[in-house]
Amino acid sequence: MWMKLTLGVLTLSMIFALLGCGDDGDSSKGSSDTGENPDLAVMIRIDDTTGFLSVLDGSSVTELTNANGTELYSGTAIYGYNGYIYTGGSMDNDNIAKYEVQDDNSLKRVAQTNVYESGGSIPTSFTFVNETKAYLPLAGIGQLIVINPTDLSITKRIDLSAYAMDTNGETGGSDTNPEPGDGVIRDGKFYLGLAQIDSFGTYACAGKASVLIIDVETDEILKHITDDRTCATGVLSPNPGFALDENGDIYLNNTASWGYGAGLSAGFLRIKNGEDEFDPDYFFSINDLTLDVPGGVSSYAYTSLYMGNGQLYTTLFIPGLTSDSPDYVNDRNYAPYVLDLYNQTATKLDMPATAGWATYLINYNGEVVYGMSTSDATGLYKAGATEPYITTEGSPYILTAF
Amino acid sequence: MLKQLTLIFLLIIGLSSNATANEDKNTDQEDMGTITVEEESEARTLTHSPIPVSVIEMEKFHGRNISLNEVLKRVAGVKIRQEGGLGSRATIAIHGLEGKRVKVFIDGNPLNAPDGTFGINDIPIQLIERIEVYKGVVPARFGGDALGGAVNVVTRDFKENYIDLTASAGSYNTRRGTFVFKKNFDEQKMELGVGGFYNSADNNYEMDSPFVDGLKIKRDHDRFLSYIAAIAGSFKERWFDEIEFELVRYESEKEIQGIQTVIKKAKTKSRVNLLALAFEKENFFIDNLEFEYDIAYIDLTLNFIDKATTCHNFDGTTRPCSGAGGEVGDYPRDSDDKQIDLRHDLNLHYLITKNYGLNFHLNIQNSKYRPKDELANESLGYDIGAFPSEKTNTVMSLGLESSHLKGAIVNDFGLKWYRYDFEITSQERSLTGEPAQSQNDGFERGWYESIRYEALKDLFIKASYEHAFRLPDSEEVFGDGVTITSAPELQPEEADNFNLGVLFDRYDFHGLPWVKAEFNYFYKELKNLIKLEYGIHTAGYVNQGEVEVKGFETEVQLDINDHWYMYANYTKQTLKDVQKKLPGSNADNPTYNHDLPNVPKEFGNYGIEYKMLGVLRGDSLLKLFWETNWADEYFYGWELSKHQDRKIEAQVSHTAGFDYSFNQDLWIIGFEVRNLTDEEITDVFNYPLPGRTYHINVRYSWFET
Repeated sequence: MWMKLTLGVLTLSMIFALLGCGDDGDSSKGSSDTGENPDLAVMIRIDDTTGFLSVLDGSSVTELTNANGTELYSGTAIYGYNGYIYTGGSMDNDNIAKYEVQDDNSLKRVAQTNVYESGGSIPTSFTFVNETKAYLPLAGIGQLIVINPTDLSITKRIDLSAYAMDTNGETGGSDTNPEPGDGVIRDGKFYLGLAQIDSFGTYACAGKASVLIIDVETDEILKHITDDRTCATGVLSPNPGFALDENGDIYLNNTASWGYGAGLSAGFLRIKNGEDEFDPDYFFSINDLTLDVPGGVSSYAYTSLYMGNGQLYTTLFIPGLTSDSPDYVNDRNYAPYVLDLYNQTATKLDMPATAGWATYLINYNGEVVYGMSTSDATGLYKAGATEPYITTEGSPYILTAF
Repeated sequence: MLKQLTLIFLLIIGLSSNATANEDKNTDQEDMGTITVEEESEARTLTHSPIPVSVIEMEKFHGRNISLNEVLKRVAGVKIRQEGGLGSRATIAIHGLEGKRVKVFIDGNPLNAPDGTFGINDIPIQLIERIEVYKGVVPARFGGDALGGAVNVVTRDFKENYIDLTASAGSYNTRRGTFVFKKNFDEQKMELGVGGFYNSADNNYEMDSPFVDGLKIKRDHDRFLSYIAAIAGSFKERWFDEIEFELVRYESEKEIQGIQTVIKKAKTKSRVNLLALAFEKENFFIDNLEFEYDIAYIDLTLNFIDKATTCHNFDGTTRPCSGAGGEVGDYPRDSDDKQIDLRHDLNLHYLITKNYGLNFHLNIQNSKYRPKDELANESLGYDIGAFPSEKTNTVMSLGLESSHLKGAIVNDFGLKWYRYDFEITSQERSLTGEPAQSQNDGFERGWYESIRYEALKDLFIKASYEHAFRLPDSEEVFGDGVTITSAPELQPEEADNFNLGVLFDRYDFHGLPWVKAEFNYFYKELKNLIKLEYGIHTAGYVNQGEVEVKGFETEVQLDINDHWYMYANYTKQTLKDVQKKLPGSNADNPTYNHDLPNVPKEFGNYGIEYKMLGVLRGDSLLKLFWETNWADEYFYGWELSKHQDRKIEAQVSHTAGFDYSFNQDLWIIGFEVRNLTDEEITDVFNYPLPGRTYHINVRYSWFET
């Protein structure tokens, strides 16, 4: 303050300040009605540097502002578990954190851990085993760490470099990072998808789908299975790339390099109940679908949510809705669909298309809820709705119920 | 990756005048060095012109080991955003507009990438005559596509047989040196000179990691090295009044310092060869028509070398680098990118009558870009160099200068035409697909009007307006062939700039030898701002955003007596997002009417200088100085919540030192301490600057009278 005063005395014409900037009118700060019983967390993306994490009562609130939000990097992943919200690092940092909801619906950070001091680890996909154990793949450096969700302490590091595949689909080459993504637990085993991409520069994957099977009790790697019908297993972002159905069958989303890979089709593989191999008789090709969209095709399924009876809600990337070159501001090129995993069909939902950074969907009290940024609005949409039932200030990047 | 270089390469030996670097006319200076007392200097004339401009005469800094950025950040309305020490990335912000929106010129020649490979900070201040900071209207004679501000570095004109040698040293092994030798051949009506400079710095200071609590990072891979060597000559009194030539070689090497990750090997190198010719003639075919034409051929090579296969951790251990290698990106690089520039710059000035002058300016820049990186090609599986590109930017202007009421009113009106023509190899969705050629061209018209009225003696009222454009540059249009896609539809940025100012500039005012006081109000509306936007896997430049800028700056400079000089300035500014809807959507823009993040809102400077003759020797002059720089805190992200702590804290830094000249200014010795109180200073979020640093300078200058 003394400096400001000094300058004020020394410089002329402060009276002209009246001509200068108007009232800042700090309208950003103020109360935000986020409801009585918060049970939903939303990570809002403002732009590539600014994001806000807010909680709300998803049953009563119709309009969510950022006024009570916690500022985080815009690409931060969030997971609700056991009443807490966990955040994963993004491309920007290597910290994970645990947040507790306060009486005023603000968030208090109660634990934080840096998972890799040297940076670039990309810790984004939590898989919770129980209150004291969770898996967290580090896609940037080819490790799987085991953490204690209570205090976020790291209890084990598992080096996965031996499972990295080169572009020829063989292990033991120069690539040392299999890019572990997300996974699912079935019958005491953790099925971890390995994206096996060349680099984050191209996202081109090696020529095989790849899954590690890990004993949840001992964390021992039991098996590495591959399949050359597709590649890039799991979604390599906070989206669930695995679905476990009522029969105990696992369906794995493979993006085949997110449309960048030539030759292989994106689609779903299956690991049947009781087996630890890919089902050779099942491959649900996304690229072979004929869709009622511009161009008639999709390159890959991005986000997904299994809701039972073979029905998988998803967003499909539609090249026909994408500018050439891509327009990252104006393109709304991800379309909500329901995939029938059993009959290998796709049904378009009567919803607008959304931007790539607002495609997440969750099961909220038995209903499918999408976070979307459409050509008309930003907010949370119930499946099949053309308008949001909760509007948001900015694009809802990730949602989680807790 | 490749940034466009230019005619930086200054008429390093400063053989003669050019479009803007006119010879100082009839400037008599007192012994004390800084006060111009009789006829107006070029700098003072410019200051009194209708356009809003700050002029810093560099003579007073020639004894100091100080960088150009250090000088610029003392100017009202100007902020320098620097990431580290000498050679680090730095941007100049004028009234909140920074980076590519501020055009940098060397002697009127555009330097296209102020944040690029070559920064003006490389230029030793001993080679600079003055710096002109244009804060609204950019005069027609520059011909550039500045959006709302420009910096013109006017290099020195060594008129006589001349020798100038400077050696500087500073903390963190910072070394700088310059040399200039100039010889006149009167009988042949010819001048010849050689010159150059050398910069190096280790920049190895320690900082706290912004990502890991308690982690100290030693910046041990931040070394910078650059040098330039030039030979130039001029021939006078031929058919042209003067013909100049210039040959320049520039090289630089910059290590890349990791902040989030450890980087031990990656670095960039650049090499530039420049050939420039300039022709001048007065009374060009008709009386009162001045002709100036420059042509430059620039051959630039840039290497980005990132081949490490073993990566390092902060704890000293190592690991194999991800994929096929590389510490910085996700694939190894060994680029050998080439860019060829051909530039034409024509200026015609016609004095219609004593009170009317017409100025025509034409600037054409053609760039051909040929990227090549076989190592990256092998790693990625396709040729990233398969995206050659070519662009031609043409900026033409016509200005009418006039004076009325015996010079009390001076008016400057101008029209500008901007034309751009890009030939682009557009990426397809599949990067392995065959790239398709596409073209984008366009044409824009801008104009400006500026007027100055001398209401009372030495009291000037100024008003100006400019409708300006900034054309997309190569990086924005062409992308990098890998993760940044090309943007064939990109449109120029557009601005409406308005300035209103009052200036009082008088010698001998109520017992004070000199007083200069200035107040400026500024208002800008910006459209089609170009921004790098990230998609899921790649990124690209897009037109996005409308911004309103308003604020004011005020400054006082005065000579209190023959010994004391002081200055102070203060700037307040706001940049608001005024785009109501999200791009591509009818959804409300959540940042509408909010201040743009990561932009300083209030800042200022003050300084004081004491001069004393005859210390230790009868022919000596000792100057002691103190300078303080202050900026208020500002948020890194959009300020939308009451729970935000990512901010750049308020900061104050002080510089103190002296310079001592003797033997008729043949020798000058300078010493100074920057950031005297060792504060934590940050211009760029997460990139703290060095703490206290020490600098010494020795200069020898001889000229034949």
